[in-house]
Amino acid sequence: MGYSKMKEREIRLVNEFRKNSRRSLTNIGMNIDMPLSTVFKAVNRLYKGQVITKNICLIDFAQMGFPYKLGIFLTTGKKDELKKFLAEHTNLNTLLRLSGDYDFYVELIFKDMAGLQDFADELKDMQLIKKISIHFVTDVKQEEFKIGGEK
Amino acid sequence: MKMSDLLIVSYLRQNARIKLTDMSRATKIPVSTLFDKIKTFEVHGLIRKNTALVRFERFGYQAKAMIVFSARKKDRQKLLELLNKNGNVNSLCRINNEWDYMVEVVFPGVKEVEDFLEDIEEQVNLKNKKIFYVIDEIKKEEFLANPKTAQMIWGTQK
Repeated sequence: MGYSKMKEREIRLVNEFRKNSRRSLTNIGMNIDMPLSTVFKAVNRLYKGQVITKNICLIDFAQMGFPYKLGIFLTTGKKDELKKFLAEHTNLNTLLRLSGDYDFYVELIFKDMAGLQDFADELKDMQLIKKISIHFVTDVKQEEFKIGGEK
Repeated sequence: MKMSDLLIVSYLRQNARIKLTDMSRATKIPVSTLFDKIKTFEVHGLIRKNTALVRFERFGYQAKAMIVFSARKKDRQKLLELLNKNGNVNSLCRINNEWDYMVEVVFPGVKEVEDFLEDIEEQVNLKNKKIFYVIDEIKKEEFLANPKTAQMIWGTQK
């Protein structure tokens, strides 16, 4: 099988996983007209090659009792130290390394304002921050991108 | 929200493809209860979506960026519609403090990101915009994605 054919199969599969990753492989295969054995092999390739890094469930944290979602842009003089602190924080959801005006974007989820204030105090006490921009975040859409512009 | 609900969600956050039998074994919750609970979570919108996190660069999408926008009140709805319908916008949210919207975009390269911004600016009178290219995704969607820490968080939230 040619490389492009294989790539095309992988793209179709990845897009199906993006739509709903909890479906059975049989169901996914039926949706894209692909035999189960082919689906199985291709999916294994996608996992082994770390193309699909994780199957996750996106949830409404507010309904779970965590209504405060914070997005913070940060600049520091001590990247490793700050990265370690943020990466290990219990309330961390997402941590990205950025280029440009800020070193990191971090997204944290909190139950109440007190938790949020504790985090801000911890950060202040560490004296690592050169520049910070804090925002409350309300999701409109999440993880909707499909390869090749498929709807 | 009960501890058992939090546990179910955290197992799904850890691996959305987990089999109910495996989750049942780990949580000691019967499969039928898990099935019903997950259905209820879906119906009530607590579970928004089960999806795969993908390294898009493997398919030629080398540029990932976070972009923040602000626009005058009369232009905000149009900006929101444009961002919402664009297929390269992976995630979109409202934000406060000087900005109105933040998006995460995925494009083949920097040129396409710049074209996207130019296109938006042609259609909406923006007050301001700022772009930050993503160099590395250190962690993504990790909150409540570990049943052990979920139990710990539950303990501190009571």
